[in-house]
Amino acid sequence: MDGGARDVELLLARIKQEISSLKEDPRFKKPADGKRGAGLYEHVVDLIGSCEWRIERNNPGPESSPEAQEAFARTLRESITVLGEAQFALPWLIATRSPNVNLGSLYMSEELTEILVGKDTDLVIVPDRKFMYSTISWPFSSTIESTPGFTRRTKRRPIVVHYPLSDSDRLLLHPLFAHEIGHSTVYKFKLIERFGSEVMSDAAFKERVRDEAGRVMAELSPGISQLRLRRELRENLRNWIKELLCDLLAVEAVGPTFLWAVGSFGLPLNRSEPTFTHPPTTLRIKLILDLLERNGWIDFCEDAAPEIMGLLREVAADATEKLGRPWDFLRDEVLAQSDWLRGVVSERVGDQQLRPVVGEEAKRAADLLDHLILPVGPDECPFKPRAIMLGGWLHALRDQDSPEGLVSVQKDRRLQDLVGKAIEMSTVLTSWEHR
Amino acid sequence: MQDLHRLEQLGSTAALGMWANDAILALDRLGRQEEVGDEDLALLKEAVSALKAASEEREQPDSKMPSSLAFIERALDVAERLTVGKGNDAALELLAELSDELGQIVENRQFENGDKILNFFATLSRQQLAATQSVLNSPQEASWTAGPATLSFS
Repeated sequence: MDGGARDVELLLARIKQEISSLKEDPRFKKPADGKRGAGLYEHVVDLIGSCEWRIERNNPGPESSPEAQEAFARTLRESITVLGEAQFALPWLIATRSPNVNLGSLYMSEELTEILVGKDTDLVIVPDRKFMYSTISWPFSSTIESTPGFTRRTKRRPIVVHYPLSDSDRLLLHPLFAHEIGHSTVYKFKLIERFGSEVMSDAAFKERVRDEAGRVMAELSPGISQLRLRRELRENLRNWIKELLCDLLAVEAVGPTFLWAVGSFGLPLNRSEPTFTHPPTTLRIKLILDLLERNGWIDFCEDAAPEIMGLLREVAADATEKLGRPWDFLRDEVLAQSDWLRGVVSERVGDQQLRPVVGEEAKRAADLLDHLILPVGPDECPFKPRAIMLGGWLHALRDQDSPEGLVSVQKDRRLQDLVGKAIEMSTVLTSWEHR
Repeated sequence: MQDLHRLEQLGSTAALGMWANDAILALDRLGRQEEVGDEDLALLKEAVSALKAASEEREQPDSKMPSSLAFIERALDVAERLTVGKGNDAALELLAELSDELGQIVENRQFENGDKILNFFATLSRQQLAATQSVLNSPQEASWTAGPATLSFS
C-alpha cells in the first residue's frame, strides 16, 4: 500500500540521499555573507530545512488512517522531486563565483534589480544553452512557504536570469534583462493578484468571460465545459498581463533601449502570433510605444532612428488586426486595461523612472563613442549606467537606421565592449564616491 | 519549455500537492483527537476561504497561502471531475458545500464524518503528484497546462 511501512522506509532513504548529495557536493559552497550567491545558497539550505521539518512534523505513524498514510507518502514523493531539482542551483552558485556575463552589464542589471525589486536581492545571471531569455525568483519558495510553521532563514531574494549563450557580449540586447527582473517585481508585489482583485473580480468582466467562454464552446470546443473554458481564459489573460507588466516595468527603468532591444531580438522571432503564455509582439510593441509616448520619449526615439520608428509603428498598428478566437478577447481586455497597466508600473518604479532629461547625457556618451572614447563622463560626475547604454544605442543607430540595422547593431563587438567597460567604470566611480 | 519555467511549474505544482496532503494530515490529527497546533488550524482556515473563493471563481489577493491562484484553478478542476454529469453549476456548489463543511469542522474542532472533504483533498493531491511527474518526464511540453482545454482553442 502507498504509505505502508516499507514504502515509507524506501522514501525516507531516498530523501536522505538527495539531501546528503546536495550538502556534500563540493560545488555547494557557502559564499561569504552579503556576496553574490549568498542569498541563493541560504535559499537552498531553507529548502532542505523545510523538507526535513515537514517530514518530522507530519509522519503520521501506523496508528493513523490509511488516507493520512497515503498523503504522507505523496508528500515524500513530491519532496524527492523538489530536492532533486535543487541540483539546478549548483551551476548557478558556480556562476556567482565567476560571472560569465560582461561585468558592466552585470552592474547595470544589479542597479535595475534594486530599482525594480529592492535592495535585499541576490541576482544570478547564467548563460543557457537555449536560445531565450528567462528568469525565476525564489526558485524553491513554493515548497518553503507552504511548510506550516517553518520560518525561512534568508530574507535575501535570489533571482536567476538565463540568457542565450550567444548573447554574452551583445550588450545592446541586455536591456532585456529589465523585463526578466520585472518578473520578480510582479511576484514580490503580487501584481497579478492585484489585477485579479481590481479588474477580474468586476461583475462586468466576469460577464464578458462568461460570454466569451460560451462563444468558444459553441464555435471551437463543444465538448469542453464552460467552467473549464472560463478558467483557461482567466489563466491566459493573467499570463499576458504578467508579460506586459514586465515589458512596461522595463520601459520605465531603461526607456527606449528596451524598445530597440525587443525590436532587435524579439521581433525577428514573433510578430503577430499570440500564444497562451505571451501576447503577440504587435501588442507588446504598441503598449511599449504608448508608454514611451506618455513618458516623453517619443520625440527622442524619432530623432534617433526615424526609419526604425516607422517599422515599429507599423508593427504596433497591426496590434488591432483580427486574431481569431479567443485571442481577440484577450487582446481587447488588455487594451481596455492599458491605463491600469501604465498606472501600476509607474507607481512601482516611481522617481527611479528613466526620464528624457537623461537623453542629453546619452547624446554626450554617443558623441564620445563616435570618437572611440570610453563614454564614462567626468570622474567627479560619471554618466549613469542607463545613460551609457542609451548612448551606445544612439551611436549604433546613427548610421544604421533601417530594419537591417536594428539587427546588425549586435555585431559591433568593439562598441559593446566600450559600453560595458564604461558602465563598469561609472559604477565603480559612483561607488567610491558614496564611500 | 524553458528550464526555469519548468522549474517554476514543478515547484508550485509540488507545493500545492504537499499543501493538500498537509490538510489531510491535519484532519487526521483532529479526527484522532491528537493535539492540533495553531499551524493546523491556520492551514484549515486558509482552506475554508480558498474553497469559498474557488466556489465564486474569484481570487484572494490577501491570501497568505502559496500558489493561491493555482489552488483556485486546480480546485475548480477537481470539483468538476468529482461532479461529472451533474449539471453546469454542480462543481461550484460542491466547493461551496466543502467550504461550509470544513468551516464547521474548524469551528467545532471535531472531525468525524468527512469523506467528501478527504476525497477532495486526496484527489487534488493525487492530481498534483501526477502533474509533477508529467512536468518531470516531459520537459518539452507544458504538460499540466496543455490539457484538453488548452488544445480546445487550437
